[in-house]
Amino acid sequence: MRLISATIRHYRVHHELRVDFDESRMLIGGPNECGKSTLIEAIHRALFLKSKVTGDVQKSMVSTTSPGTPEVDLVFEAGGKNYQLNKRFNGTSGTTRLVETGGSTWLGDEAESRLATLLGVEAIGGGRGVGDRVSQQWSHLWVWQGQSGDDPSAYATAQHNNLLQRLQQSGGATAMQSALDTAVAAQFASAAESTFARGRAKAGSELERAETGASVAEEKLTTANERLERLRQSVRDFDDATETLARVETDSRLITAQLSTVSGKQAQVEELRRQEASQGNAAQAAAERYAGLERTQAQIATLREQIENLDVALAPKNAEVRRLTEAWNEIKLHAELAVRTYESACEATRARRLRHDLASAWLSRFEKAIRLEELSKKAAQVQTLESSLSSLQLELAKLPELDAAKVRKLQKLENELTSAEATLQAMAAGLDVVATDQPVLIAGSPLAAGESRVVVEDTEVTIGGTIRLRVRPGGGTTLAEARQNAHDARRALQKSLDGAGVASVVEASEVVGRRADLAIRIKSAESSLEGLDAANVASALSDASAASAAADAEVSRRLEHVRDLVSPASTVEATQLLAEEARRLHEAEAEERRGKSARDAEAKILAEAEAALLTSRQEIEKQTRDIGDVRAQLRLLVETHGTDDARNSALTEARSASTNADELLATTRRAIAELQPDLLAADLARLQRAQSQIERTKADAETKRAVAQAALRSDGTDDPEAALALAHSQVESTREHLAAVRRKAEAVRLLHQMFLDEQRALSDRFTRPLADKISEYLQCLFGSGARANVVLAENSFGGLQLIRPVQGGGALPFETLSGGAREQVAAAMRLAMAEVLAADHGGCLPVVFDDAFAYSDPNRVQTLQRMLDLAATHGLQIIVLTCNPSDYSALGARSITVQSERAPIFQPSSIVPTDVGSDNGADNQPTSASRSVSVSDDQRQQFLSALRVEGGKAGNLTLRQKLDWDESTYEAVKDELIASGQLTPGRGRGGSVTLSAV
Amino acid sequence: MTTRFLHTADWQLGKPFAGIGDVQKRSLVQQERFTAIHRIGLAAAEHHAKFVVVAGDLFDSASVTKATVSAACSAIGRLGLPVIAIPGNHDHGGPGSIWQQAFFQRECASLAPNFRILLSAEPVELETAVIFPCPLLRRAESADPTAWLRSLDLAADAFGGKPRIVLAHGSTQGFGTTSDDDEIDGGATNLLDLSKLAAPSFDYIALGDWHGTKQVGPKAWYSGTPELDRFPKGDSNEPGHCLTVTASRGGLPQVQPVRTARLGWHQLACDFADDGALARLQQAVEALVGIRSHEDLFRLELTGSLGIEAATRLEQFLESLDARLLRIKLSNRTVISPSADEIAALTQRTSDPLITRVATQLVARAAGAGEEAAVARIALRELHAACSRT
Repeated sequence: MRLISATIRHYRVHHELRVDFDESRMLIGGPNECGKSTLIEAIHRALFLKSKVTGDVQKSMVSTTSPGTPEVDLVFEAGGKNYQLNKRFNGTSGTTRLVETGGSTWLGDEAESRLATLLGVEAIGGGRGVGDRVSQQWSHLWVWQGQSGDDPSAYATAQHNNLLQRLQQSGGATAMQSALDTAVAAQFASAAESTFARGRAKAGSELERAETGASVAEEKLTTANERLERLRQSVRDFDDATETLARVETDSRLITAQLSTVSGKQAQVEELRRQEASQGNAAQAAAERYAGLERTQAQIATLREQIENLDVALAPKNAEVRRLTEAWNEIKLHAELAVRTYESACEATRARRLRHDLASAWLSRFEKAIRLEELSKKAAQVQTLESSLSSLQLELAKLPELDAAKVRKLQKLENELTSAEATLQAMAAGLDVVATDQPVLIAGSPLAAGESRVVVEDTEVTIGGTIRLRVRPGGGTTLAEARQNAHDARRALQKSLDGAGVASVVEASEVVGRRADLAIRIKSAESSLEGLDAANVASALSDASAASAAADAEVSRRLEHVRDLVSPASTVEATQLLAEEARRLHEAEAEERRGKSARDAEAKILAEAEAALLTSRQEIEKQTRDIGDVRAQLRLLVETHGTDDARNSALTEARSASTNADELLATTRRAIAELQPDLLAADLARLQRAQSQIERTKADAETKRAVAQAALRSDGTDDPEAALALAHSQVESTREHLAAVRRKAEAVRLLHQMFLDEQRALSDRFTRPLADKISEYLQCLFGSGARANVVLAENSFGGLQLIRPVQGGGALPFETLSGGAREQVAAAMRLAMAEVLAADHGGCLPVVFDDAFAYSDPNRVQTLQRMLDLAATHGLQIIVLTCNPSDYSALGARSITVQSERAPIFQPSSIVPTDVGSDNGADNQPTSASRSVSVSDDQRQQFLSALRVEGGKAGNLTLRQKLDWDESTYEAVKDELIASGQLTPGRGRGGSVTLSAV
Repeated sequence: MTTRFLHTADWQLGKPFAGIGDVQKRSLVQQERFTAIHRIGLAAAEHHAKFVVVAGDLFDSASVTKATVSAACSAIGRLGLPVIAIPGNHDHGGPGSIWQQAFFQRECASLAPNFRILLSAEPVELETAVIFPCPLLRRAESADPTAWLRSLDLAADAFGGKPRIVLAHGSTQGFGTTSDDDEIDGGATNLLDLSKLAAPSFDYIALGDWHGTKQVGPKAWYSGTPELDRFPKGDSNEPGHCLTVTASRGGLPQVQPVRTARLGWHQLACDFADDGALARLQQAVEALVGIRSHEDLFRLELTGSLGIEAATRLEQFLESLDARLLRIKLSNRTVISPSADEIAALTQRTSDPLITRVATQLVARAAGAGEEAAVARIALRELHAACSRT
């Protein structure tokens, strides 16, 4: 089937467009939105969509710019004949007409079905998703925009049967799997799937149940075995325990016998020990007794010796005592003498002292009297001074209290007054009456001629009776001020003077001088008084008189004690007397002292002698006492222990008794040692241990037996041996069953696998030729060695892979390829499929690529053309739509450019040079792009009116000139009017416009 | 003095018959053993026996259930005449044995007062005979249980001249060391050396343990089990009887077997040389079983090879047989060997290329031996079935 030409009218952007197709290579270029895709959509719909279609699909075809029913005229060749197809998509009143060139004509539905038959599809007329469904038709051949990168296997699946049939035929009549094959394969597949999951028995499957059953049976067998074994073990335990108990009895008896023997021996040892103890005591007693007697003997001997020694020592002592006594007596005499001497010396001293004291008292009296006189004189002086002082003070008090400072102040005030008066005076105006003939009165007081007066204040001078002059000395106010000042000063001075109590300043200073003078005199008087110690004089005087009186009294007193002294007449005599008496006293005192020391010395010697004597006496006494004691002891001992003879015999007796006792003791000890008491103890311990061990063993054995017995006691609810037998047979039967089931499962698995393998091999035989074809195309792009893989599985093609020799030869799945590679590989596959399918369509099918290589780089785009060319060579009709026709210049295809209805003034270089033996598309409508110039209503009206004037139709140039517009404006308006349907563009070289019929 | 009595042994009451899968059939077979006791009673009545001796293995295990004990005591009680038994190796005495359990003693006292179990090796005097029991007090006795008899010094007229009957359980010389038992641990135990017994001292030796009726000495017999409990081994094995014995002091006993068995235990081996052998097998089975159902047990050993379809038919036959019989003990080693036709049918399907290819591969695999080949054969059968079904 091949496209020859297509004309579309009123189809979206196209008003009318005709394209003649090259029989093998066609390039349709044009800018974006020029309607290329619309063109092929229209062709596609003409082929596959019933004309009576309604709804959105139909509405989407309707053109907004070109009113009228969307219409497609298609001329194609199919099955060796040419057909002309016309479809008008007018909703329910759409029409279809198919004309076989040189043959029949079909209309309406007949035409649709005939067309469908020719194409080998089912016509699509409506229903839900009609748009999508229709675009699925021949989707392997029509590469819509944006779908170039999709995996074409999906589309292949739709064509699956056709592909298979053709592949089958090309593959040399390879048989396909039959229905029975499929059914049986599916059966085994499902059986395998229900039996196995991930290589193991699937849960719930018979195999798994058999496996479980076998393992459960095994467990039960183990349990039954264990149970039975336990029972048998209990039997064994019972027997063991019984045996043990019997053995233990025998052992026990043996041990008990031994134990009693040992106990007997131990008792013996006990007895002997007791004997030993008592015998030991006896021996000890005997020995002690003997020892005691011996001691006594020794003691007595010692005492006797002692007495002798003491006596000997005593004798010389007595002689000593006598000697000392004599010495003492003599010394005593000397001591008494010394005492008497001393006493008399004391007496003498006393007498002398009395005399001395009297002399001293006499002197003292004289002295006191002198002093008294002195003091009296002084007192009188003081008196005088004091009286003069008081009179001075009185005088001073009479004077006003003024001091130099005050005087200065007064002086100052006086000065001020003086100056103020001076000022006043200065201001004063002297008025001299030089001559007058009239009475001059100055302040009421007349002034005769030659008189002058000083006026210090405003004064009215009256001259005569009529002339009154005022004299203002000092100019007025100043004078007043000065007067006031003077007044103030005078007042102040006066006040101060009054305050001070003086009449004048001079008096004041006089006063001050007097006061100073007085002060000086007072001061000197005071200091004189001080020199005299005036304050104390009175008291000193009274003291002195008291002392004098006392001295008198003392003298009188002393005189009573001493009669033989002559009283001195004067102080000098008194002094002499005193000195004499003092000397004598001194002598007497010395004498006294000498006597005292002598007495002390003698006393000391006496004391020493007494002490020595006493000591000796004491010693003798002591020794005598000692001897007495010892004798007493001796007596006591002898009394107690008898005479010497008695004692001796007792001693001998005691000795022999001790010896006997020792012998007895030794015998007993030997007997004990023979019995080996230590070993006995060890034996006892050992045997007792053995006994308790036996007890334990017995207890354990009894327990074990009881436990075994209890375990063996059955309540008869089940028979463990029968259970074991059952478990055994169960295990066997489940094992057998499992083996059988397993074998069958394996068989099923094997079958399933085999069927899968065979199916795969079979499908490979189909897909091989397809893969080879795709590879052929891929090699145009990727070099020799590039291969494709495709898989047919379960009636769908898939697994499209690219194998590139340069990159390690690994197979790259389609999905992992880059965008550009995908486009290319997909294109290769489509071409291959188309080639295969073309056999059903007379060896040719159109393959439309709408902007299908957007992601391919320019280099690849060049190599693409090799592939496309190859496809064309193989008989396919290659139609490429592109925005960049120059990219495909190397294809050598016939190329046309679809231009948009509104072309701009300047044409873009989108026209492809038509030098490769193909002519440009004829009868192209000149189209222009729109410009964004706003058109006013006025302009529109003008245009239309102008056109009406021209009779409804005019050439563009003329009209424009008439309107006198520039080209762009004219074009814009014209376009708009055309777009709105008010104008119809006409044909003709320069173009014309016609008013549209309303 | 003469006396007539019944000698039986190996009742194996309470035997589980674990090999029988169906629970109801199993219980049928178990129950039959109790019914056999009744038949023994009938035989005793018929032959005017004075008492019954059971030479061991009255119970099948030393730990049977209460239910078994009750049923046994009830059946024994119904016999009416004295029943003397010794413990065998299955129902041995000793600790934990059934004879000492409280529930046995209760049931025995109330249901079977005519029953006496002899647990110690000392003579027991009855009305008309003296029993010399050799009880087994352990599962496996290494000593000869009859040893105590050798040292007995019996005067010829001891026990009032009553016939002296030895009651023992075990295997005698001349039978080899394997006992007639499917016990897991047999072994050289419970050996009775009858030759060491002073022959004139005893008048009859009633033996148990061998399940077939057999005379092993001038006065020594195995009574065998009264009701078969397993597929018989060997030909000279006649189980299913009890013995009526007429014994007299100093004389030879007269012994007569009486059949008491009911269920049939059959054995067949068949080797399939061709598919026709299947029909022959079916006929043989029919001949043995007749129209009976639930009364027979079969041991089948099948070898040889069958075609796929024949193999399927065999399976169906075995299934129906299994339903009808009490048990089929099956050893099926037949090999599925598809016939030429069957192979052709699978491998020459021009319209089904997949099946053809798969079948061809399977046929190649099935040719060998070993597990792989066996799996391949089964796969062929499955494939065959799948193709026939759809």
